[in-house]
Order: sequence, then C-alpha cells, then structure tokens
Amino acid sequence: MTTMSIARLAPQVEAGQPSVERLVSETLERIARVNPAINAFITVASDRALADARRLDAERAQGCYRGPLHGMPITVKDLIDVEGLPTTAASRVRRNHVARRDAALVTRLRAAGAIVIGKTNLHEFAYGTTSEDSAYGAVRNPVDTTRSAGGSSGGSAAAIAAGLCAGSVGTDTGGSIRIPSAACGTVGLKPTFDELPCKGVVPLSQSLDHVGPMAADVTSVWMLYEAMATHTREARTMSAATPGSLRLGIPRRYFLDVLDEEVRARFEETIERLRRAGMRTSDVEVPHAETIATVYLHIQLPESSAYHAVTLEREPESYTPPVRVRLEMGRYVLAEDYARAQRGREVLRREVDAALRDVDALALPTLPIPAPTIGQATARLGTVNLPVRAVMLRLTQLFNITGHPAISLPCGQTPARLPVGLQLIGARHATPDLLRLALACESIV
Amino acid sequence: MPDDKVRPRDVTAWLEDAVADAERRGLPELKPLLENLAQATALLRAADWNEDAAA
Repeated sequence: MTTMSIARLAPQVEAGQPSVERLVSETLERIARVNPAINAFITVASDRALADARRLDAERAQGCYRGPLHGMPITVKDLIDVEGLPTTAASRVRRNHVARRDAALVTRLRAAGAIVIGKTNLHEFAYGTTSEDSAYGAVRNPVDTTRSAGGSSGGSAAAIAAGLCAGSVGTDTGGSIRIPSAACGTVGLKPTFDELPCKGVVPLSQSLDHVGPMAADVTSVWMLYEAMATHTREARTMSAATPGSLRLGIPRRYFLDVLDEEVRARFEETIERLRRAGMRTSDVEVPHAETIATVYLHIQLPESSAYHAVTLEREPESYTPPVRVRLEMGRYVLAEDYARAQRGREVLRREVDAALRDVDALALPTLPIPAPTIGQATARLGTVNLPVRAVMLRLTQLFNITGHPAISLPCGQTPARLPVGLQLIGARHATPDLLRLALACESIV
Repeated sequence: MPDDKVRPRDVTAWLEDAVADAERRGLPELKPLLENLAQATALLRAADWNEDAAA
C-alpha cells in the first residue's frame, strides 16, 4: 500500500505536476478498485470533486495558490455535514438526511483548497471502537481484511492507510481518532477539547466529543489542523522539537498493567530509541487511574442517551442491536451518579495536569492490543479475557474526560505485521507544542 | 436515624429496579450490561472525592 502524504504532494501540486484534476481522477480510480475490499466509504462525491479540481487548477494557473491543502483530496467521517450530501452517521435512523450546509470545519478546509472526495464509514453514530456495527457494513483493515480497522473513525483511517485520500477529519469521544489510527498504522490527532468547532457534527457525548485531523504522517496532520484551527493562523513554523530538550513522562501503573506482550515490546523499544536520541524519560502517576472507566461511563452513557431519546422511542428498530442496547443502558444512569462523575472528571484533570508539570508530554501505547479480528468479543491478556470494547478504550478515554490533546503515530508492527501506535499527550491549549514533539518522535521511531 | 419504612437507594436496589424495568419494557438483553454498570457505579460511589454532608 502506498499512502498519500499532503507534505509530499503539496509542492508537486503547487508546481502543476500533477494537476489537481489528475490527482483527484487517479484517487477516484483507486477508490473504485480498492474500496470494495475494505468498505471505507459510504459516499464518493466523484462529480463534485472533479468539478472542484478543475476550478482549483484554473485558480493555480492564474497565480492563486491557496497553500499546502490546494487540491488535496480529503475525506470526512460521515458524522460531519457536507452541503448537499447525506450525513448518515452509518445509521438507518438518518436514511433521509441531506446536509443543508457545510460543518464549520469543512468550510475552513474548503477555503484552504481541500477537496472533499467522499464520506467515510464508521461505527454507527460513533458509538463503538471497531466500525463493525454500521448500516453500511463493517469497515475492514487494509493491513489485514479479516481485522477491524478500529473505530469509530475506522473508514477514515482505512482510507488513509490504503492511499484512498490524502487526509481525513474524524471525531473522538473516547479514542475514535486515535484508536483506528493505531489499528491501521496512520496518524491521528485529538486536539484540546473545544479547540476545533463541532458545529455541523452529529454528537455522541457533547462534553467528551472532539474533532480532529487524520493523515499518513505528522506533518500532513499538522497542515490539516492549521487549516481548521483559526486561532493558529499566524505564521507558524512546522518544525520538530530538538530531542535533547524533551522530557517524556510514562504513567506505568494502571496504563501498562494490561497490555498485549507484542504491544508492550514495541512500546518499550520505542521509548529506548527515544532515550538514545537524547529524550529524557521519567515515570509519572495518575493516582485515581482506576476510576477512569467508571467516570467515563457515567458521563458518556447518559449524554448519548439524551441525544437519542426521541429516536429510541420512535424507531428503535432502526439502530443496530448493539448500539441500541448501549443507548438504552444510558437511560438508567442516575443524575446523582452523573454529578459524581463530573466531580471525578475534575480530579482526573488536575492529576493529568500534575503528571505533565515536569515533562513535555506523556507517552503510552494507543491501543493495548493489535487490531482485533472482525467479530471478536474478548481479548485474552495474560490470564484474563476482557471485553474488546473496554480494552480498546482503556488508554485513550482519559484524555477525552480531561480534554488534553493527544496524538497517535505508528511505532512498529507485531510479527503478524499489525501496526502498533504510540500515543503522546500534551498540555491543554498547547496542541502545536505536542505536534512539534510528535514530529521529533516520528523522525526517530 | 434512618426510617425503617424507606427502602434504601443503594446500588443493589437500583439494579433490581433497573432490571425489572428493562424486562417490563421488553429489553431483557439489558440485564448483563446493567449488572456491569452496577459494578462501575459502586466503584464511582466509593471514590474518595465524594462528600459526606455530615462531615
């Protein structure tokens, strides 16, 4: 598989070699050839993409080059509005929906010259970690099509890994950008909470939802992030931090307790390589780590159920059974427990802030296991079988609770050639610093 | 002093009520999920950040 890198393609497009029309045409041909095996797309907007491509070629010929996203064929998760196209959320509940306007971040990407060539498949309403429960069928991992692409932004990561787009926009409520990025061997960024606008995005749990860029490499992710984040419009150099100046904190207790042994080996090898390159590492603590999953559940479940209450009553049969059952479960959480979880959220946020006090970022694996097989319900870790969903959320959901920015980048493979992801977590409201650090790590790993 | 006539509103009582309600609504498949949720709720209520109004 050859991925498309915005960083690599942008200078070529600026020089007119290839033209945007040719780049888009070839991408659409690849989608037609490859997508049936991986089911990454729900909608392919061929005619509109080609019309946009011709317009952007004409602009460039007249000396108007919009920047590195000029003519880049991108996708958006089908939870995000694109004017004139359905936003299905991979659910029969939204079978009659057509978006009347672009989501705010789509407007920004189009203004930067990006072309939306299609909308990607996902776990229904983003409510799952495997992208299997979709009204449009399961997404398959391009690395091994018997395996899940991760989720919920599984179609976005699969399309990037298969070279079917130059980047994508996903959403992340418990890890839904970072999990599929790790499973497919791509890069995904969840910025600080509320940094990018969620207007025009179907919510899952509004106090945990984030949107963010996904791509083949850190530079491409950064270029997409810059286009979407208006407050970073001042000229910013996309340069890597100097490894010798960097300090990484590793929260071992709880976070590294439950790991597939191959994932553990790749993570420890990666940390050793970063140390040899000059980075300093130290162990850090999140004292209430054992409460992460319970705090997450008591916030996410009722927020999701509140959004779906009307359609759960009106047309429960329109949901896939696993998603319907989880939505129904959320209706039983008591208000007092939601309030207790919000107190816990403050405790955890302070503890992550404290863990970051003397380091530049926290480092963890993104996923405790490699991509599970399609239909796999449990994962055996050591002597215990654990539910796949709980395992896949284990290392990512904390940073949705606390709002810290986090990025996943590839850090090797298992002997079965399944990708392993390195997750880096930065200080709140300092996403560009995290990107600088991630660029440095990418060049070493 | 607790009133003997008032049923406690603890996790066990919540689970019994929730399972009974789910079965009444024709959703017996919710029972194992609610049992797992009850364990999580017990952990949440035992967390040391929770306050005691008498303290």
